[in-house]
Amino acid sequence: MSVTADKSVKPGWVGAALPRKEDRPLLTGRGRFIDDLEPVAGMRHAAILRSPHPHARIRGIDTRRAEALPGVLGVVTGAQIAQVAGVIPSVVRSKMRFQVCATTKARYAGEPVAVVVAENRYIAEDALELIEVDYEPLPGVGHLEDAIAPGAPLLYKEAGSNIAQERNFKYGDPDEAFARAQKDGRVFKYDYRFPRSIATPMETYGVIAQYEPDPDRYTVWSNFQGPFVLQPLMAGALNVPGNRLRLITPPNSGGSFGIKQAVYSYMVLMAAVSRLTGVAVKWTEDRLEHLMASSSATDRLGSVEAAFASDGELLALRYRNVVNLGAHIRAPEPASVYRMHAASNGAYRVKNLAIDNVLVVTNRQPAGLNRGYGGPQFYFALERIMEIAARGLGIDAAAIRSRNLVRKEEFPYTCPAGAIYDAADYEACLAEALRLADYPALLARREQARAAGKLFGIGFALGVEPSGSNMAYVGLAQTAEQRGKTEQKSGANASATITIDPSGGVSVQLDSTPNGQGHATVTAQIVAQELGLSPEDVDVMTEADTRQIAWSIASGNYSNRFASAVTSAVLACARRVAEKLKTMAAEDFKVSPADIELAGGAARVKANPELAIGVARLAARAHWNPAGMPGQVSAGMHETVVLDAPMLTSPDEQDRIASAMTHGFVADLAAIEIDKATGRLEIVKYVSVHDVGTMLNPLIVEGQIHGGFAHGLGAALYEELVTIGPATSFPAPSRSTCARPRRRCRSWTSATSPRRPTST
Amino acid sequence: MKPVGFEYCRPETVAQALALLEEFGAEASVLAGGMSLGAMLNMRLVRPQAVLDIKRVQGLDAVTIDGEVRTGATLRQAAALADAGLMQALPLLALALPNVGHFQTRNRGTLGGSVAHADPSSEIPLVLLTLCVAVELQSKRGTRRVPAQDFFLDILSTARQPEELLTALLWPRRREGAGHAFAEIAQRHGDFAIVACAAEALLAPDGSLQHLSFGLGGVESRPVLADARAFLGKRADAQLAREIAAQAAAAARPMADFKATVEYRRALIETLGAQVLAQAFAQAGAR
Amino acid sequence: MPQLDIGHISTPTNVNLTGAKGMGDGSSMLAPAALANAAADALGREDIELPLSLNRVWELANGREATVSGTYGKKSGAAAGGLEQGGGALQGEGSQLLSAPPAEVWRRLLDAEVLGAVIPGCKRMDKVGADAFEAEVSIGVAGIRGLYTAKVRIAEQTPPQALRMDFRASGRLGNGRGSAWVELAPEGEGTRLSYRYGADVGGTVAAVGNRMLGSVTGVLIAQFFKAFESYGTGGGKPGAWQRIAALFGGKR
Repeated sequence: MSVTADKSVKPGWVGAALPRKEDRPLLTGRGRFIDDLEPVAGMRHAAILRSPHPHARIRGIDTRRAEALPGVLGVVTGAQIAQVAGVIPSVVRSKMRFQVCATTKARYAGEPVAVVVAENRYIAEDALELIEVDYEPLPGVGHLEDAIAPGAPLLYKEAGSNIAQERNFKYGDPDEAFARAQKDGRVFKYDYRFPRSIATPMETYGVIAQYEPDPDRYTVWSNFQGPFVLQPLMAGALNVPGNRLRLITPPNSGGSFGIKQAVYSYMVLMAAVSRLTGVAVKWTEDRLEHLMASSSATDRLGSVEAAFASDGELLALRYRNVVNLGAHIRAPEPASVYRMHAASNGAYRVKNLAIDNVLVVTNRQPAGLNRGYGGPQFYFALERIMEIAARGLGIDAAAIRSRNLVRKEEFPYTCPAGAIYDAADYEACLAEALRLADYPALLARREQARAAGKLFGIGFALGVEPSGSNMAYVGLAQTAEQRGKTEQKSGANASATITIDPSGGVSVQLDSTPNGQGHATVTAQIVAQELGLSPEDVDVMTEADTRQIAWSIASGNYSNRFASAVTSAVLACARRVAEKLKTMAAEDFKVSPADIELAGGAARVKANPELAIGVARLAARAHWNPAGMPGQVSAGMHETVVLDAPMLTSPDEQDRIASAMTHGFVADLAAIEIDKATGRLEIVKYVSVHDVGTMLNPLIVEGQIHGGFAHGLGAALYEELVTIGPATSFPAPSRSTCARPRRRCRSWTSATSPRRPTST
Repeated sequence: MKPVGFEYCRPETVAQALALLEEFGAEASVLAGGMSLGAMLNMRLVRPQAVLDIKRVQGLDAVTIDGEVRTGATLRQAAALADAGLMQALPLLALALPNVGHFQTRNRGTLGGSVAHADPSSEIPLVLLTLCVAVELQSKRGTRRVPAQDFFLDILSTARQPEELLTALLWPRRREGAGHAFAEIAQRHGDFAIVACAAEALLAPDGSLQHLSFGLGGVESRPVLADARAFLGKRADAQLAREIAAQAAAAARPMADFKATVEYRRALIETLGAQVLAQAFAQAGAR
Repeated sequence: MPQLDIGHISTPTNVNLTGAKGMGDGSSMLAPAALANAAADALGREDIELPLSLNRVWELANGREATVSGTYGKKSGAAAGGLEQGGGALQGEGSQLLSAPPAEVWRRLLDAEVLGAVIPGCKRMDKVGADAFEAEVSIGVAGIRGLYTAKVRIAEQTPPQALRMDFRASGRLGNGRGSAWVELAPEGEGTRLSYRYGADVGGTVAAVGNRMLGSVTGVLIAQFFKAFESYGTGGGKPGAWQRIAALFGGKR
């Protein structure tokens, strides 16, 4: 089903600042997270032995002492894992093959080397200490410069280089534009480095895996967030058809910010471990594991050049992105490089672009989705060069941006690299930011502060926010010729299912996996509005189960997909249910369905509200009295809508692609003061103006804005995965959490005299 | 992140605790609030045979104020902060405590635990050193008092012997008219201090410096006192504060880690120290 | 968290039914650039790197070169072989006056039995070749202690004046490798021993104990020399700790 524009969302629940349905159970400790689940009787516990070396050859593993420890059910090594879990393919054609457990070589500190399964996690960790691995430490590369230097130690000898791929793109005529600017205008260049950071949600990864033979069947519970394009990859690695790899997500997630995409490699690992040990296994990642070996954002070495006419018109941009993928090209990487690619002009009308992407492997943990996925790195380059150019040209930093913004009347706006900006008012957002900040007063304050010898600064950053990804954009990592050899890819389906049960209860199932975005609340608002109910009447199931839901490769929760795509599927589905209810009521009251409205829990005749029948009664009829249904409606009270996104076409021969459905806009302004003596940076003012289109729930919108700002602030001021010495990769320390009481601990109290506790 | 197997012992009296310490010696870890030990156990940085949980030892969190102040080892940081009488008696501690961790950790963390742990960036050991607080240690063989300057030996290392239990902190009588100040710089509130400064100053009636104790935390492998003897008798003003801080910065041997270089720590001692000293002087002068 | 002033402009999209555009990334994409721009404006320099940590901002504000992103202890680009030049994350140097003459100090330094007795926490010390030793050492301070297997090789030597040793150690809590240089010179009746070392450390101890490594190393070296000096005299003399510690800069 395709979408046609319909701006008829009625006033009512949608748009109301409704407190989240999710909050009460979460705040009162009643959430059910992956670690709370015990779906399989006799589940055992896994712990992972990880390489302490960033780069080492594994000459041998002796597991005998570990296996002999009482309570240990099995120890499996990378070589055994490789027998049941193969290579996970990559869109990048290279010899850098990714396996979920190291076999002959460890390429980052924290890479899995072996797995112990035991009666409990304590014993499993005791056993890890008894595994003897004969490592031959190798020189490693922790930094991009080192990795691409001549003679650098190679992660993959077979690839002959640490550069996994280089691709060069041109849109318009950037060379001509730069030549013109050299002559008549100005060219600015900025070399930068963007550090490696990580989103660190409160809840870490968790996996429960069960293998059943005859025929091979895997069931994996995990706080996986999608995209479900990874499901066929996992099934492929495990060598089973997709219908024999069942994925189930728990009702609640303790946050993700993208990072719970990469749990999939542990899902494959634990599935293999369950098969090899013959028991269902549970593995909960601990905080140290999470920091060492989950999934960080890519750090970049980059340069950006901007060609300007003397009047401040931006003529061309040239980017060079050297990107640290970490030790493996783990799907969906290198998507972080290509997510923003089609929108490389940012919010500006610039027509000429040149982009070089160099993908590099180093002895660091593999990269993956982290909030903003490629956005922070991209906008750091673009918005820094805009500011540098403003200073160079002597134009106000707001004015130079305003001069170049895509104008309101130009939407929908087709960008040089193919993004189609749907709708927004960039100039109004910038103007609102200036108003909220009282920009003239801020400028005056800066002058005063500087006159007093203080370090006061103002900075802007403007950005387009792509949402609802075209699943084909990662294909830009291949040439048009390479892409032509396989079936074309495009689009992004979204689905929703609504059921009204015989007693009138409304249930909704999504193909998204929420981790804090308020799916249940917003979905209930939309459905309640369309069916004339209250949001409390609508139960939203946020567990995904590939055996039960209408999922597809785009399913999952990433790239702001819920608001841009899934809510429309919900709305379309609710409308289909509403239409059915109206048709049934219309027959009862001998009127046209168009004469019926749904309100107050009933279907009633608009002209005569006395003529009404409860929604629950109509729904019951579909179950109890199918023969009594009007002829023109389908049987049952169970509707599923799958929406596609026809504007998300395949990349063309010129590597242009409409890579996202919607494009929100953000205009940020920061004013800071720095204390020279201590280095303390005080944020005097931070203004953030957003054009998110329809605000489905303003409370949730603002919650997300606060959260996004917190992550941006962390990356700007605090966070960095630090490397100490050559290629020893490890995270900045974080405070640890408390442990649960240990089952093997012996508790003891005595009222009178101390004595040795007795063993239990 | 699960600890090694250990025996969990929960004595209810000091005598029981001492007997257990006698038995396990260096193989015992004493658990008070567990805010540092808990993490260290989970990471298997410590692998004790026994964990002696002293939280339920009766009376070990008692506070007595009668000229001298005595705070029991398991007095929680939050409880100390909430005790108005205690905070009035120990103004420097009152200034320092809000910087210790976060309110959640202060709800469990104890004064004695922080002292026994002896992290070089910890605020409470710094206050102890600055005020010449005595640490009370008990073993089956008896009780001894160790002045703070002899107690903190090095990073995580103290004069406590394996069979001894830290039972109380003995705070000297408050110097009449003394001014106190405390400040620290950390990346975020609650992080380990990069540099912390604490000062107690006493001025003569003519405004000259009569007594000064100026402590630095987070700089070396244990809290240290700057040598300020050369400045006694001089006029206690902002200029003197800067001079003392500058000398302390020059004399310090700061550690380097990935948060701060030696040069940055030195610069902070100079800046923060001058602020703290000037505050202490001003407060003392106002009395 | 600083105060955030939020504004809204609403332009519904027409590519979907609800008019809503995704917005969950928001300022996570822009705050790094906005704050870097503000810092560049405040500092009057464009070579801004993130994160704008206290130390880095102080460096930038005081006309210094900024510490390179993602590194600590040495600049990026130095080859992985930098240890041989005394590089590495953990570095130190010092000197110690010993009462024995250089020839005797030299003899003891290369005697497995002596080393086994004086290295703090040494459980076993075997000479496994002309210039190679293997040892099991329990290293740590306070309760943080781990058992390490160490291999030491004397890589260069000029008896009884100078030597370089390369070492590797690995244990449950971490691993390390590095080199140490030792020089002996007569001073009075005894010997002035000067040393410097460079090492890299990995594993848990490096990840969570980084802040402590330098201090712990200092403690262990002090213990070593204390034992070395008193070897064969039936234990350390009273006050030896204070005297030796003073040499290492403590104000005890």
